[in-house]
Amino acid sequence: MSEPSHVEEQRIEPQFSELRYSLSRFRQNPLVIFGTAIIICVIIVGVFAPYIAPYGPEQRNWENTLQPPSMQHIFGTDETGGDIFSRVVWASRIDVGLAILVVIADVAIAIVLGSVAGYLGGKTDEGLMRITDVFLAFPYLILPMAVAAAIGRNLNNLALALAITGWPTHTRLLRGVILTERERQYVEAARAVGANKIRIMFRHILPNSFYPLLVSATFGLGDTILGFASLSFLGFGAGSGVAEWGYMISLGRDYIYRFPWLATFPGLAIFFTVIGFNLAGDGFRDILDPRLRR
Amino acid sequence: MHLRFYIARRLVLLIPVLLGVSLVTFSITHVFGNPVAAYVDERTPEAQIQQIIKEHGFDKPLYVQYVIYINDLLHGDWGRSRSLNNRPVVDAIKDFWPATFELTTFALVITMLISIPLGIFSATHQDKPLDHLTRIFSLSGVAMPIFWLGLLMLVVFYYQFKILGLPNLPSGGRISEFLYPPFVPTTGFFLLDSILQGRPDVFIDALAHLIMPALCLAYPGVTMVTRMMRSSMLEVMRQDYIILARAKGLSERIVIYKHALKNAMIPTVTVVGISFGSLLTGASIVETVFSWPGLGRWAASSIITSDVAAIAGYAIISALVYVTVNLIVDIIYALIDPRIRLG
Repeated sequence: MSEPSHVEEQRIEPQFSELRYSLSRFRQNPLVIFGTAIIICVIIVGVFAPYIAPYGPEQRNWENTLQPPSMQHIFGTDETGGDIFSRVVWASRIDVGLAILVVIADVAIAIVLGSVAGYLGGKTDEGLMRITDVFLAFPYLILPMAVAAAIGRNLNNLALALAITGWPTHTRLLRGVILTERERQYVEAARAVGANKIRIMFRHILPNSFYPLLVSATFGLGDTILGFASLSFLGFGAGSGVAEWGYMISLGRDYIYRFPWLATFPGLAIFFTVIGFNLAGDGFRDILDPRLRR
Repeated sequence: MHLRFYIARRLVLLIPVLLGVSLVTFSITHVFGNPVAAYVDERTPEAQIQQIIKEHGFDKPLYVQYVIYINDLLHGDWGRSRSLNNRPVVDAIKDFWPATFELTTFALVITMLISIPLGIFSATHQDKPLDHLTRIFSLSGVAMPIFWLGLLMLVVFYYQFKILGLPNLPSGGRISEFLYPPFVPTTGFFLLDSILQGRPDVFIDALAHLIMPALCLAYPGVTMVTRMMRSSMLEVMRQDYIILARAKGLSERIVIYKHALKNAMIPTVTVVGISFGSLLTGASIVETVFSWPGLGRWAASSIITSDVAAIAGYAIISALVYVTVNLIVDIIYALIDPRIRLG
């Protein structure tokens, strides 16, 4: 028996550029462009908040409370005289920033557990899937509510609670993708030339599972932003004047009839941000859907 | 596989899930949280606290505590809700569930009544302006913060209508305060009670209170089922047997309603199960916005008093309901599509 060690894995350049193809499909879909544009805008707003917002996030002005939208305060002012436009801008750092951290954590857990389950299979896989079943037995957001209540109410704990409860969907998805990928011929080829399991996993299977995970992460970001704001509205997150969209709406609730702009603008910010992530997610999925290809 | 075996298998598979659910809520109340908090408040004397710790075994190792916890759960001791003057959690659930059940059921009915016809309409008018409008509407559902939607609805249908002198919907609660003669609910389901007691005035009043929260709660589900119905209808309309039905010269009406609809409904059934989950989650948000005295508002308000027992109880009950609904949905699915049983 001769060892196949002398056979090198050969790099074959693809004839068909995946990236160029994806980009061309991307350009054909106006909704995806719209969604991606929203995401880019929101991220720019968050990063450059100090330059965009004319006032600080918790800057008060007791002589100028509950003013309707005007040239000085384009979204009006709140009950403490805070500029709502500035607060909405600053809040994108908290809402989108923490959602990104939550989804990164969930995706990282998914990569570890999903690849373990998908590649080892058998009892490990079965056990991990039963654990995800348990987490998915709770309707969405109810488990993070309970966790946040137990560990104490503040923004970081709310993000932690969402991260603890958010990984099972991504994990199940990735595990499914890995199960399909590992039966593909390129994996067999890699095995035939003697690549070990870990190398196959990290160099072959995981890179090929990247796109489905990207889609699930994009949708996950939208869901997390919405869930975060919802729980924060209920009082599970921010407190005492912090600029956060859901909390701003809960403050605006007391003034909703006579001063509706307090709650309207943060709500619009949530709505358009989440729409952006969903449109982009839909678009990424269409681009990747093999049934639509070629 | 025979349907009976399928159901039996699903029931057996439920046991580890429910054990897992109890383990998660146990971790929340006993590991992350302080379990003694569920039984005491600031005024409880130290001696009594020690007694409670002894009684419930909170000084024992965790695995012993878990066994005690399961035993307590099975015997109806789910802790005490400090936001309700230390009422037992199980009693609170008994008090609150009719309000939540009435709201979610009504919202589910609205979901079906709006989304199924809308999905069919959208699919049969593919790429026409109204189809695009429907698709924009269904897209809005995934991003709509329903607490915000509820507030906007209040501004329009309560406040603005009132200002304009139009008949307005009530701003919250389940029923107007000063009804004469006084209304005493018997089952807790106000619509049902008013019919049983022959009170049309109460029925109309309760319905007026129900309509706005139910519409708000139904919103995400409506858009989700509409989207599913549309795509599943489009998928079915491409099948050979539809082409055959058309070739036979059947009217478009018969093709759609007698041939396509039945098969298009199959995937929609599962989405209804999933959208039920969004109803349970939404209940805590909508009940808070509309001051609806149900389970969800109780659980959500418990955060202010750190009433972990209340929220853990709510988590258990909603997981039980959600798991049961999904089991029923799966059984219906297996009934109408025998291929499922083989899987």
